[in-house]
Amino acid sequence: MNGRIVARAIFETRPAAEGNTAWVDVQVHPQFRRRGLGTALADQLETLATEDHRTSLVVYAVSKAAAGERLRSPTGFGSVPAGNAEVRFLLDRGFRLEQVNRASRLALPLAADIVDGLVEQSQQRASPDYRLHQWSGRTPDRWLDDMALLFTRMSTDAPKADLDVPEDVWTRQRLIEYEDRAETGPKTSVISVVEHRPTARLAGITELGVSAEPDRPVSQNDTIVLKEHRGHRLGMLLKAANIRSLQSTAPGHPSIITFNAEENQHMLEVNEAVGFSAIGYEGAWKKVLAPS
Amino acid sequence: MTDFTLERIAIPAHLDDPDEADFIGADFIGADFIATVEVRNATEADGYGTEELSAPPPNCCRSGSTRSTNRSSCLRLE
Repeated sequence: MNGRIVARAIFETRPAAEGNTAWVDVQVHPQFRRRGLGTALADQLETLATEDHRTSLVVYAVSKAAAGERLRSPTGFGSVPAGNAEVRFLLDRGFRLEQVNRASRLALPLAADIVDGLVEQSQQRASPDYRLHQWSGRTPDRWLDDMALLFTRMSTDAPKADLDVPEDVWTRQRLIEYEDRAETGPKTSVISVVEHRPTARLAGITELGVSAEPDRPVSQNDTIVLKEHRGHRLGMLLKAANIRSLQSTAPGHPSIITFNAEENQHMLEVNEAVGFSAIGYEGAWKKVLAPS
Repeated sequence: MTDFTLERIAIPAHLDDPDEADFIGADFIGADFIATVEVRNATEADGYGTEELSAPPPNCCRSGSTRSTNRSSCLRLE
């Protein structure tokens, strides 16, 4: 508008063999809303999706807190303000609310006695069958296959409501190539994993994405404990141990930010016990398109 | 009255990659992409009430994006 970029839309897909969903996003600068920009971009996205033979659209939209009537998630967990502009916009365009996600923040540094206590308590709860390993950056060669499995399970085991999330298969080679690219990227990974000693296989992982600039927040990336290893307090062990590692190797960041599905009650309870608190919510919405 | 235009661009792999100039114009040095990230950051700050969710443009390039495709932003769902 007048030579300035004031809105953007994103269209993101996976190979058609992995499903017919397109992940979309429309963002209009707050100073340029109510001028038809969002509608024009959304129309473009739907045209693009139809041309690309996509049959469902998924969008994640921030919903600011507001009083009044609520639109509840069909998962039974969480809701968004029914009167918000983005909610009315999406409903008018035929989207359905599928899931509510919580954004949470942990202020850093976490006191050493608190984080040490959390690590110690969770280690006592975990069986001696489990052993912690930690690193930054590239995955050690011995764990490449296990890490590929854990990342694959993130796409199948995380709560996904009715959002048509396809299995995202990771292999040793794909992980190597991803880490080749990441080495030139702007963030470093700080990783903690637990090994199941009787099988010498990894049972869980958590990963923090750390910017080089110490004044930027750290992003909490994947956390998963394989289903067959749950119930041993490994999620808390991983989280607390990784925060301790972060504070040791990359101190000075102001916070950690994480997003969780509101129905992921176990992970939310772990996060709250560590000290995370909610800073906002977003809806995950889906629209089913007529086949082209 | 429509007083805006829409233009399609791709997400560059790097902001300093001269090959990326092809898709957006000869004078591309990342300015337009950076402007789209500024829009993203403004909307995130408005929605969450904090600028802590802002992302520097390199984090939103393809090489700096996340593994997951299930959240179209520079952050991701745990």
